[in-house]
Amino acid sequence: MIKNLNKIFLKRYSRKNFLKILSFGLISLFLATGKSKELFAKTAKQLEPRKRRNIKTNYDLVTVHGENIEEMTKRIIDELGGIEKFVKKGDIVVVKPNIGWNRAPEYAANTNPFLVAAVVKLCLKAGAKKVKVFDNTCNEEKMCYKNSGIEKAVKEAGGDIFFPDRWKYYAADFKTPAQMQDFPIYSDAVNCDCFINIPIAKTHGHTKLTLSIKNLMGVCGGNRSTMHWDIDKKLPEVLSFIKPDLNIIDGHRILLRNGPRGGNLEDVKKASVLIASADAVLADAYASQTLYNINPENIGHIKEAAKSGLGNMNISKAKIKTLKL
Amino acid sequence: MKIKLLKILTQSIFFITICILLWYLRYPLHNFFNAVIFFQISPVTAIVSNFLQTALIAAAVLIIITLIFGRIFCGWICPYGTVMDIVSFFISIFKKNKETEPKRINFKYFLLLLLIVLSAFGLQMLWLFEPLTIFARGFYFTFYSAANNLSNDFFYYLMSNNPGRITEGIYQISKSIVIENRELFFNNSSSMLIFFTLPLVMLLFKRRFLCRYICPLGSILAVFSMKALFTRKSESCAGKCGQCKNLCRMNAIKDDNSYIKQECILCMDCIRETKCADRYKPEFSFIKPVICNLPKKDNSPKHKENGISRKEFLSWLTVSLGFIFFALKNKPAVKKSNIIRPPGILNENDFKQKCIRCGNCIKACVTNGLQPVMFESGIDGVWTPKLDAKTGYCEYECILCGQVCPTQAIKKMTVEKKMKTKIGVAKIQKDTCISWRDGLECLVCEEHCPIPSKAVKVKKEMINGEFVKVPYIDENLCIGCSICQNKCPVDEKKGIIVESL
Repeated sequence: MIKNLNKIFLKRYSRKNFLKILSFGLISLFLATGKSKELFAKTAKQLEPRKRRNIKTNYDLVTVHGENIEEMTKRIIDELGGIEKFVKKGDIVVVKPNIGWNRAPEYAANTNPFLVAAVVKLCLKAGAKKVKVFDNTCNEEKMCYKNSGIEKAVKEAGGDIFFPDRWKYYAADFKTPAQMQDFPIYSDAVNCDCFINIPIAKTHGHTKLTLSIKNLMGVCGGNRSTMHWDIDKKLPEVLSFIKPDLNIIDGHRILLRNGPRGGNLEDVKKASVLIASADAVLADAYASQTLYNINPENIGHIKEAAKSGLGNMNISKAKIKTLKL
Repeated sequence: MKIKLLKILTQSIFFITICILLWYLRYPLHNFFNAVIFFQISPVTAIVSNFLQTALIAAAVLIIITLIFGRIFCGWICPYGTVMDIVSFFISIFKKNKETEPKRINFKYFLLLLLIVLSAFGLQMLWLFEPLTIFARGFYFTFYSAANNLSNDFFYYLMSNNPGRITEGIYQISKSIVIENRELFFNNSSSMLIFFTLPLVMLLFKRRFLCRYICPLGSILAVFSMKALFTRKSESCAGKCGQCKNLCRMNAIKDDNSYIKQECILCMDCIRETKCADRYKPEFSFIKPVICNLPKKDNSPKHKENGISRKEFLSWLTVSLGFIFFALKNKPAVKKSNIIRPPGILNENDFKQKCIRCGNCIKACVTNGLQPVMFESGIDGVWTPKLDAKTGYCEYECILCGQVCPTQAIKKMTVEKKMKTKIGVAKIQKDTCISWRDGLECLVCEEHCPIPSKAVKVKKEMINGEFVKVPYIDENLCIGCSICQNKCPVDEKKGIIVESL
């Protein structure tokens, strides 16, 4: 070893060799210092807001009361104008249920798996190329997917359910200065032809209720705990970015207390209702008024979303159809 | 040649199977084919776990095999033995193997005795020398975590730069079958790596160093292999050439070509590698079982070098007695550690007694919340698991750590019982909590609290002249799962901290 070192240092170099070694050293130094990263790095990709198709539904909002979820789902979408209105042939559809918690379906912490499966089946029937189902879970993702029953239901229905990948979160370009600037957004949620949002109606300690607008939090990444600071301003920004085509609120079982995680069967009420609307704000306002008897004016993020023109909060002005199966 | 091939094949099959078992010790756990059975096959586990039933059955199987064949486990199955063989092979390229008469090979029995006596006095140190746990610790905390994190990073780099269809396919398959969709982090893994590599470094001086002089598992098996039916015969050769002696990796062959039976690990080197005429070659064959015959009286002068001399024995005795005295004196009667243990540990001392530090619970933990401690719980608690809210939390409906514990140091529980098991209690830090300090609404801890009727409750409080919703703890309901501390958005010092009971 020492002999070899001596050889290197005591050897006489020609000019050519000296230049060779010098250039080699400089290049390796350049690579090591990280200056090269700037040279080779691509410009950071930023997501553009999702482009929503202009869909006119027959009614502003439809509710269906009943027991058979699959039939109710079919009927509710038919009343809005049929699934063909939302899903065209060859579309890539994203279905975003709430799979946030490691709880069995009867605790009403996650969306009903039958509803998710019914929506996936309808989309595939309408000719969707791919139906993607995912959620950024709060608990351990494998356990949430399995214990909520949604993984099995979606797989049987023929949908594509997967865990969000780290590399698919991109910084979002909100066009206007936004508080959500620091939170990356999952690119699959934006690069799709149709976004169907299927939340479950639950209470929430901070935002009072978690309905379709709050459910969109599942497409955001980053440190989501800090998202809760000033959440009433942040949620409408996400809504304006994603603009779901269809919102179906799962009111089959709803959580009345101790939300959003639940755990007590006494806190679960069987409301046996589905609420569907293309307008997330209207769906949320209607659900809060009818299911929980809370004036939507009192719920910060719904009020804020209506104020920034993302939807209609006034139920009396909306064209509503109620069905009973 | 045939037997060489057979041995290499068997060793690699067992090695790969064990590695696969250890690799897949994670959330969707198979009921029977998991690594727990691998740890329970060691009689050390049965001793440490106070003769747990499943461990006893598994150990009995191994002992019956040993009674028939001898120490075949050490030579053909033991994964750490395989690692040592591989390393010795590379060392033997530049170092010629030369052995002397067997010396100090009985040290391991004394060590085993000392460890068992210590364990009876309440200081269990068998885990430090047991080869299966040494291998598992090295595998889990260095190899597995490195392989998982590196491939995660590799795919992250690949996919964020060039997401082609084929690479994505490979990534999706490996994500669903091979690697985990998360980065793993383990505290103190370097200290475990030191104890993994130290016996391998010692191979520079002696082959199978750990097996010859230290291994407690090997010495238990050696005791049972004394009367094994499968023996080596070498009457036709007086061993003048010394080939067999130098080849033997366990130093079991004496100058006159006879061998110490309990040292032999049946590596078969002495029959396949020797270059001599067939009639001089030793051979292995079964003998008729001798049960009630007294051994013939041996008149030949005994080799003193087999054991240790009187002087050495006395010094060993004084050192070990001193060690026992020192260890027991330094041990407080009731140890109150300020760390949070995983659920299912009823008694701290009992737990330390039973834990063999295999790292199963730490590796299997779904949130990466369990971490090995160093000296936080005393000198006898090295590498025991603790719940660290910095890296994870205790998943409410998960009982994996109890399921994977081979000695039941962490008790197996039903989910219903686990959900009521208290491991700590959360305390609001009013000087850092953003709601209590600044009056900002946050309530992330309340949202995540898994208790059905919420251990973190909400009340309205006057903060900075405004009524704000602030969290407070119902200490009777809180089980200390630490999810509130883990998810708390306050960065520098968390606004809610879980303390041990």
